[in-house]
Amino acid sequence: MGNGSKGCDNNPDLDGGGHHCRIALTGNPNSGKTSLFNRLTGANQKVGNWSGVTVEIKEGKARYGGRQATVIDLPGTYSLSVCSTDERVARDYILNNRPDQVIDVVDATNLDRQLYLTLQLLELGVRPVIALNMWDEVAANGVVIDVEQLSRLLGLKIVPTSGRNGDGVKELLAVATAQGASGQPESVRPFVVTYPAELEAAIAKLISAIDAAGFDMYPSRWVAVQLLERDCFVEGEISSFSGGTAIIDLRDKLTADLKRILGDDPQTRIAEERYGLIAGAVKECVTLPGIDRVDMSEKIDAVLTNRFLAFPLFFVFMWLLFQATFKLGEYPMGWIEALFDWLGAVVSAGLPQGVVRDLIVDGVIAGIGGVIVFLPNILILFLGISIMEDTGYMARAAFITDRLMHRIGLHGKSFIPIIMGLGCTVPAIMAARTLEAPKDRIKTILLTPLISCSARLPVFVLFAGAMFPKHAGNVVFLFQVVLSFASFAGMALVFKHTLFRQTEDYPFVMELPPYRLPTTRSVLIHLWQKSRHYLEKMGGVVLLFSILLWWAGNYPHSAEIEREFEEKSAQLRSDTTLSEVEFGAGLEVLNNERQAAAMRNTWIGRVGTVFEPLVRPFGSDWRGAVSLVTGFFAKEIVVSSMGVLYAVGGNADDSNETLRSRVREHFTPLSAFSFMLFVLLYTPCLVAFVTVMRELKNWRWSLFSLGYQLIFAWSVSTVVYQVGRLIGLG
Amino acid sequence: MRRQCRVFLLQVDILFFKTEAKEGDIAFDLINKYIISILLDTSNWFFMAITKLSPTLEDYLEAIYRISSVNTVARSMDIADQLKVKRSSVTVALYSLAEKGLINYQARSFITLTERGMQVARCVDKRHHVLLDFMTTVLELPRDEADKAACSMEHGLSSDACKKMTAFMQAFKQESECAILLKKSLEKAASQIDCSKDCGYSRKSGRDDEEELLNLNFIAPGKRGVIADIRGSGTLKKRLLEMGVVRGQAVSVVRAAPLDDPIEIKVRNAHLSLRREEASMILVKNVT
Repeated sequence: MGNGSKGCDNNPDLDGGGHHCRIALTGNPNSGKTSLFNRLTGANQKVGNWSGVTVEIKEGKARYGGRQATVIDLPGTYSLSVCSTDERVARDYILNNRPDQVIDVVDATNLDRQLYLTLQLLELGVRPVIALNMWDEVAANGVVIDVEQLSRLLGLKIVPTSGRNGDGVKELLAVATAQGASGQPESVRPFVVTYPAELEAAIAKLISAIDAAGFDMYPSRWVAVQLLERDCFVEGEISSFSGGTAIIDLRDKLTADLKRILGDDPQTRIAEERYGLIAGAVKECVTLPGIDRVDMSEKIDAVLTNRFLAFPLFFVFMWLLFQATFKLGEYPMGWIEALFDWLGAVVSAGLPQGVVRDLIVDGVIAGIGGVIVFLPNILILFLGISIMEDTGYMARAAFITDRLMHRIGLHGKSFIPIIMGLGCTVPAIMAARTLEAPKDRIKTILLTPLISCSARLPVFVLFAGAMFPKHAGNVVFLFQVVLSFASFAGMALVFKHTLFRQTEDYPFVMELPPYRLPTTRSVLIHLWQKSRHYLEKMGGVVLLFSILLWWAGNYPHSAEIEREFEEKSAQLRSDTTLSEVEFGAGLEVLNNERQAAAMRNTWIGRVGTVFEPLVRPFGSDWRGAVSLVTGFFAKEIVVSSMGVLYAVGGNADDSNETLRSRVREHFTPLSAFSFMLFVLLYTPCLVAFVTVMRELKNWRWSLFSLGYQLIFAWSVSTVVYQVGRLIGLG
Repeated sequence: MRRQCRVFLLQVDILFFKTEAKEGDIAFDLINKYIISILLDTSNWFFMAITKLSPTLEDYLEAIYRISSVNTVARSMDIADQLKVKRSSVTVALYSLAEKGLINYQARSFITLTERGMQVARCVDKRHHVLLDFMTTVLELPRDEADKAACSMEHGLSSDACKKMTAFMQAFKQESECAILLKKSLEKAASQIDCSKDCGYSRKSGRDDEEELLNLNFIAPGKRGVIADIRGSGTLKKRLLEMGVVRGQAVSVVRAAPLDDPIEIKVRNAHLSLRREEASMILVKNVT
């Protein structure tokens, strides 16, 4: 890397003949790597204080001197010798994709630990440019770092930066692209990591064995050190290599020998040596202030993770989040509703009666309006979540809840998918990648869909508002938080004692990053991303399904039903014994019958009728069945499809009646409650299911995920409904 | 009968050998780890929260209990002799115990246990004996070695663990056939474990606090020390090493989580959270 042959300027871009430089960003979690990436590329990137928040490799374009460079944001990692797939992503990218230049983002406030990764990069033969990030904090703390001296010692270029205010970002890009283009000058010798004689002897033996076997995928010295460090993946690759088992055997023998000589396993010694070297370098370059400053984070933590205050505060934050979401959300919701009503009226007035008008007004406008109305709720919710992430409170929440999580067989880190799950199941499932042990990850992915996502919120809001208007907020909270967490915990316990009885726990060694004020910029970027995601999902999937549903809910028309209605009404008209009032009432009954018959005849009615026997046991009718079927595609649609279904089912006079009163007509409180339970517990949406499949990469588990949720949802809502009826709540 | 036997042996096997036996630790270390994990039970957390007795204080209480069971009253000199500590240290400890209402003590006078003190001491003694019994009968360790080990392990035994351990010993003595089988497989397993070097616990003899290695798990919040050793192996050790938890590194315990587990430690200007179970793998010296 950086050896000139693959340098930026020698590597013409495929599409323009221009020059293209690929720069990879690596660094510890919480080193401010992602915010630096934002600064470099101006891309809309999530900034989180949570370790491993960027589990995917993200790319952005950076401009320098009229050219463009591709900047790659690698997942944060503590070490290049890895045992988790998450950490492996970063290393594999550097090893296999060979970026022109690697930038190692180092948190300058925590140099002596963060340089560990730098040393490992050097051992790998990479010559990174170091971004000495959080430089502003260092200065504020009164710490003096001799950058030139450090640069000389490591033989690497160092640029002080601040992802927070953008200082040094231009220089960093200039240095990185220049080095990527020309390679590091030979005169500058990079720092060589050497170990005590005994270790070096063992390394030498391993190197010759590796070279003899012809294993040349990676630098041999690095492979030798990795073997002594017991890196899982290198070991696996060597074993599958011909003659590899002999190398592993040699390693085992050398390890045993070293253990006898050093009184310690080589893994420990290697780490200690590295830290020793770092400590030496840091001692020469860093001057600490004379006085011990009071750490702000520690003060905050003394309150937020206090034995008595932690949980009350945690619940207060959660409660505030929900109150803000609903109380504040009410106002813009009102405006949006009014806007869409007005839009529908205008379009209706402007268009001739017919299929097109119905399509636009009842399919498109009503469908989109029914979902966009919940956008304020979702925005506020995500605002809260992103503030929690950026301040670092999320890690504290995991800290205080780990014991509970551990009880139900999960990891404290599973808390993140749970919280994210309150927003949307899709990113939540993806967030489960932070869990390092596969079993923990599978468990979390299986369980996360039970956490009620924001798309289920509209359904709860609709039903709670319709059936329990006095306690709407509480009922929504009950479903969105209490019941969804309870079902999560219950199912987790079931899994713990059945499917995952024999799994080991993965270490819960987690960093609690310092509290940092979130910048408006990063919160806004975060928020923008989330709402864009929601709107994109809505815009595509929901519009498509709104139209499809409108069509399926209106067609095919049946001439027979119309004829029957005409015949019967003619019969009624000819009956002269009826008074005016009786005639009107009779006609209305006939009209309702016609509507119902027409509805059953539509595609959607046919599908719903098929599923009706399945939803009967928990008190729903075929309309419920149909909306649940559509809800499998996306929960957002449950509300809009109900809107379509009930609007079609109503008389023309009822067009100004709200959906809520329709719901009141068709549900009892008990059946509404059971229906909400089913919505809470069954598969969140098609996209979520696809994500589950993609993340689990195992169709058996994916089908299991789908199956257990459907069975669980059906059983719970049926039992609740039937028991409720027995004790006379129906 | 044979089936029961197999199940019984299997449990023992899982408890003591399956996970770690290959990694070169001795059975003693494993049992200690097992007991520490039981210690983390809520019942024990509750117990600790009420009495808050440090291992050292428990030792003192136990010594007083033993001496007074022979002499009815104890003198601080006898205690210093039994525990091999300086008289001045004894005085400090005695004040602390008296403050907690566990002993009746006034300077230069005899020491007697209060009713509550008697209760706690009996408890500690019971724990000591069941551990001693376990190590002499099941593990067949020499008595003085077992006694020393029991001394250090007894502090970590929750009442629940003590109860289960007692039940285990009873069962062990009843099921003589099983006992013989178990001993055989123990011998076999022990012969496979390489124990020539580094036998886990590195507690030095004597009670000079300067040299005593404490388990990070038992260090009270606010205290600091220097990492002396990281036990175990595998993922946890790897993770700790790469996060800067290495020997010779200063470490301080910041706090325990509201539910007592995990704990927050500070290493190299970074705050880390780890479960008590994991913290118990880290040994610390020079605790102040």
